[in-house]
Amino acid sequence: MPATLVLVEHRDGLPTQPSLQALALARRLTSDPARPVCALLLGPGAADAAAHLRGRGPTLALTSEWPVLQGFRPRPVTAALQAAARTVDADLILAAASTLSKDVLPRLAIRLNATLATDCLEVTPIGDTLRVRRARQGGNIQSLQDIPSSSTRIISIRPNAVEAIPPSPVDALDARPLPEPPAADDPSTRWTGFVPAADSGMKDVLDADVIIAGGRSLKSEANFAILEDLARALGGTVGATRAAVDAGLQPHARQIGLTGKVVSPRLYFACGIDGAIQHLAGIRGSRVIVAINTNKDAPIFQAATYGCIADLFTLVPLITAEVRRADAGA
Amino acid sequence: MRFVCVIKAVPDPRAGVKPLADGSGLDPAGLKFVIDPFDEFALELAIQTKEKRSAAGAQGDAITALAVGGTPATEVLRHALAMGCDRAVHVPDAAAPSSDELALARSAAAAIRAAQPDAALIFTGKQSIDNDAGEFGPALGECLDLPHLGAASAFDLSPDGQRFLARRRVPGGEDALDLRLPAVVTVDKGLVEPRRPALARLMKAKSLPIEVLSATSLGITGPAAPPIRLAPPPARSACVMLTGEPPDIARELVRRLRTEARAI
Repeated sequence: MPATLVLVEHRDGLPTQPSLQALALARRLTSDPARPVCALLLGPGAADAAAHLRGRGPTLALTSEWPVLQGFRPRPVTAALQAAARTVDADLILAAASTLSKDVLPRLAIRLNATLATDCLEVTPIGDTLRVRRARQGGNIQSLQDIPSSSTRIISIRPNAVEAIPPSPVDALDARPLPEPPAADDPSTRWTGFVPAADSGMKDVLDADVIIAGGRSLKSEANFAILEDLARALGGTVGATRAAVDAGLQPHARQIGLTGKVVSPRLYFACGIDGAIQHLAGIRGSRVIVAINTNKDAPIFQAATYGCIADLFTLVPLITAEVRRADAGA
Repeated sequence: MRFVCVIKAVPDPRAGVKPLADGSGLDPAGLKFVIDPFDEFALELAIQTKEKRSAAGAQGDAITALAVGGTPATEVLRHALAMGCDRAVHVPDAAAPSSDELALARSAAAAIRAAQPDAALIFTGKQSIDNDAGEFGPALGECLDLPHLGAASAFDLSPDGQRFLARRRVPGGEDALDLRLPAVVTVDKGLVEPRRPALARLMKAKSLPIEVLSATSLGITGPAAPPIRLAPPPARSACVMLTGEPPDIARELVRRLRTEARAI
């Protein structure tokens, strides 16, 4: 019987949260209990991370710790996915939308003549068909597409679009290494190392569950410390609008919006951000949006869950203190 | 050296894009097309690369701008010529809707094989802002059996034109890479600032030729993606406004985030 294959990314020996969400999606899309759900884990540490998948849905974990899979290696990773898909006879391949899957799934789709839907907001089975919902035009429009089962389907899901399922203690998990096919290496692309960002040691906006974002109204780079304090209190990170980045207040890596990063955290704070359409495009997938602005007519309030009409320089430190007080058990 | 830059016309997001009531496409009222901002970065990087080589004595370098599909591509190709490209090629009848990035990649690959088979570097934007998918660049690399660098944030071509050193942003920092040519490079924001061509150059570009390749003659094959239906995003529930003195707002907000939204 054909199987569902899930690409599971891992860091520090643990599967990433978005990948656990992709596994939860695989389980929801598998109505036939006999249909296998298989995980594929790549690179150093794959076998250790695989041990954490017990009870998360997969019946088999394939691991490939080939040395060529470290760093940015789109063609070897594509070869690994192709080999795994062949090994388990996969006709549905799922992954979390990520910097890795973005560069690999389109290549795999061309190789397999498959149908590809990346960064989906929702995947709903309708009989044999999968209906996928995706954002278009910077989130101002969505598209619906019915993908039939007549070809291999490759789908990536936006982080936090589905919830991970708590592990069930009963499921068994078989793990085994995936043999390296000949010529899996790609001598044309040499990864020469990772250069950590020279900043505050905060998470990347794509990895954070909580983002505290500011715009040009913060006026100086030093003033972003107010947002960093709240981010630390909530275990989150700091983001910025294009205007703040163009004014040199924050690095490009923190830019959120149409020409920056599209984020979907659990909680998003827009501090003194008016809500230009280009910025809203990057934050619509957030579960809860808090807007802080002195202008009650700012467009950001149309997109927000909670709106605070207040000066951010006054209010944000008060919120930080309130979070810390509650954490201290008051 | 020969360079290709693949560009796309996309609806101007500032012009207010709406779907038609039946979801079959975009409402043409008020619809305006512009060059994709990431493709503009790609064009600028291609032109700067050529200029640097030329300053170092290289001769005969040329950049071909390529656009595929029925979107209003003529204007963006003229913009590419005004910026400094040497040649413009359009495949107007490619049977690839602007939403089907794999089909666009198959068509672009066929056009490159026909029009510029000796291309050493193929530049394009890291994603197009109409789909926000970024499927095109990696798929183009695969169709041409070439390596690709996704979302370049730094790019430095070696003097011998055989390889380039590059970086790309990943969570927490940057990956450093060393790639061999020929290759596809998709360009991120922040690496270069696109030039604004002078009016005289824009006027001159209006009279320059745009070569047209027919999709039929290119013999493009491959499956088409299932059709898409457009819809407005589901409405968010109305914003709960918190007013009063700042300490009261802070207390009420944190209470609601904990108990009502369960977000902290």
